[in-house]
Amino acid sequence: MCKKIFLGIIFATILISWPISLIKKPAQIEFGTIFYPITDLEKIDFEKKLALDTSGLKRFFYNKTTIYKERYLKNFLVLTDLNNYFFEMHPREDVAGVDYRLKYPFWTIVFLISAIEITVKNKKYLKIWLIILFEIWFLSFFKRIDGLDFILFIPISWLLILGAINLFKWWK
Amino acid sequence: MKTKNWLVLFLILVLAIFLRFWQLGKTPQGFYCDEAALGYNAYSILETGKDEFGKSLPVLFRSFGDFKTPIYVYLLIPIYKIFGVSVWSTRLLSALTGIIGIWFSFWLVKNLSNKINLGLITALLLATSPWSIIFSRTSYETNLAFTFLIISIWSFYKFKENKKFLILTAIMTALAFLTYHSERLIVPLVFLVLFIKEKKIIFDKRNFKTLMMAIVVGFILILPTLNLMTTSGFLSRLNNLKINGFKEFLSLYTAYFSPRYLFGLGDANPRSSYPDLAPFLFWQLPFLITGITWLFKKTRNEEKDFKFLIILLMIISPIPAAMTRDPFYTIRALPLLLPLIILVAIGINKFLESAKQTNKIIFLFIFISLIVWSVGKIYLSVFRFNDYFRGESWEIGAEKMIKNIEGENIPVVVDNSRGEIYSQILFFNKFNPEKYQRDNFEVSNFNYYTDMTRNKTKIINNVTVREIVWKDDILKEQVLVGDELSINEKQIKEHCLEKVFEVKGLDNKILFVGVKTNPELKKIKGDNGCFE
Repeated sequence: MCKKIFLGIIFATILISWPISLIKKPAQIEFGTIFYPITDLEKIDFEKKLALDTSGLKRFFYNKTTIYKERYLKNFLVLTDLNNYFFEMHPREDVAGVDYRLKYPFWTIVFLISAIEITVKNKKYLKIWLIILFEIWFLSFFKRIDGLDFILFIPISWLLILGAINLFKWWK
Repeated sequence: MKTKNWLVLFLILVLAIFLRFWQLGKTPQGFYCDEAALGYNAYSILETGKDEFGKSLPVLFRSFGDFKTPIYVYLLIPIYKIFGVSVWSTRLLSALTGIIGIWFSFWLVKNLSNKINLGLITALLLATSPWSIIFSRTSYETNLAFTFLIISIWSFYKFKENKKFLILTAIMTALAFLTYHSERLIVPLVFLVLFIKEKKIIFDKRNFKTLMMAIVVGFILILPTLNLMTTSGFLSRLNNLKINGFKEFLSLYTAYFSPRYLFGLGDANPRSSYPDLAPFLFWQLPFLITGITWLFKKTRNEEKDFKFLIILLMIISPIPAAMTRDPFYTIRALPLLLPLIILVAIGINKFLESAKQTNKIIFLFIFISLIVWSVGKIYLSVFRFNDYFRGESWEIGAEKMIKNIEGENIPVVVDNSRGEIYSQILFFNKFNPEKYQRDNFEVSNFNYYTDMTRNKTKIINNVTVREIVWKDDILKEQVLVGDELSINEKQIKEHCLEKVFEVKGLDNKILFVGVKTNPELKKIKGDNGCFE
């Protein structure tokens, strides 16, 4: 009974923070993608790099697709950042289009480690990671991901709950 | 080991040498004040047996109100004796240790995993690692300490075969401990755990004599430093770097494992990263994940030591760095590179091992293509972009400015309100250390490690390094040197100064301005200045 109450409190803590942060500070959802016109700043930086190398090598690394690839990669990495979910993006809160929300209490990161252990050992849980990966891949195409990234709430919370159950399985 | 494997290892080392030694003295263009301070102190010891403050063979080197660890300085002395004092020779030690680190990483991984391929992949990834390259091409103590740490771990596991390696382990751990601040915490923690784990072998009666010898040797090496443990000099770094609570620590700690930092943001310090290059290349992410999943899988007996070591290094390495306020500070967390790169190598090796023969060739081709792509990207960033985008941070104009003031017969005042330019003046001029020690006093030998008072004014022949005091300095005939913030166009006109030289960066930004005062004209013009 004690264990059930204890786990119930933990599940509630896992499930409550992100929705509350959205209620307290609603997200400004936009559906624009990363394929917006190249900004002046991006253009200047890009042209400087092109001018600095006179060999043909630069075109291989710096071409028309580069800026879009960089935008995509930036979003992708923000969405895979552990600190985004557990530490409100601290210590580098320098991403445009992301609000620094308390998504999960920082101590629940322990459950993530436990969740990795259980998903590696039990292949049936691998699908949760695949769902997360697919959603991150998809979300990375958006210019502003705040609010839209709430679609990650279910699979990540699911993982954390699994991790919590796994961590306390010794408790009969 | 087969000839084929030796050949591959040789080629990897050639690539590593190219990425570390090519244009070593030229890029990063500029020579940062910390590098110059290490260099000049080594030169000073070589010439006089004393450091810039006149202290004979210091145990820690007083520098810019802080203390630098001593090993890099002392190892520079024979290098200067052979190759002379230059930017190249000062960075040579880092570059050499970068290569030695790769060599021992290969043997460490090969010995522990019993897989030559895994050792070779690890060596190749280290050779092309931006995180390793940047600290191999610059004079920081961290790379040297990292190499000592790798050798000490390699030698620790060799001890199981030959007990004499325990003495080498003691020497290397002591040197790692003495070489960089982070290792002062990492080394004791790592070896405490390893000793507990291997206590049966280490404390075996047959090894008693060797163990005692190792302890004595290690203790003798670190004794002078231990003796200073309570001084403000030893603790200065610790006092400067505090964090606020466990949550803050954990957030900084987690950042060292976050893909956003490892594959994207990198280190915010412009001297610890290259433009457009994170510590790891993005294509390595899936392999790192594969490596991490291997950590959680059931361990075969022969893999136990290997897995244990990786986990141990992963847990301990970021601790000193996370105890500081700076987010993702790669200088302090350099030892983390080893376990992470081994995990990437494990990921790649898993793919290679599991693939069928035809797929294996395809996979190998893709892997080699990715390495070629990485080298191209590193080449552009290190040799083409870095000096342009990061030159100012490397104090790119200092050498040129020093050349400009070299021939001046009248007094020169160099403003130091935003830097420690005196160390570069001393280094590039190879200024007579004896004369410098005589003309400058900061602290007595007795209070060297305890008195943190600074004397920011430095006298170097006719050059005085201090802040410009406008109301007094314009009344004497002299040359004033500073950056654009210290000496601007308005001040030049207001004080009737004559511009003598300007040093610009690669992006055409003015880095240093030299102006000659004109006391007579200023007296005539008074407060109106020379605006017309």
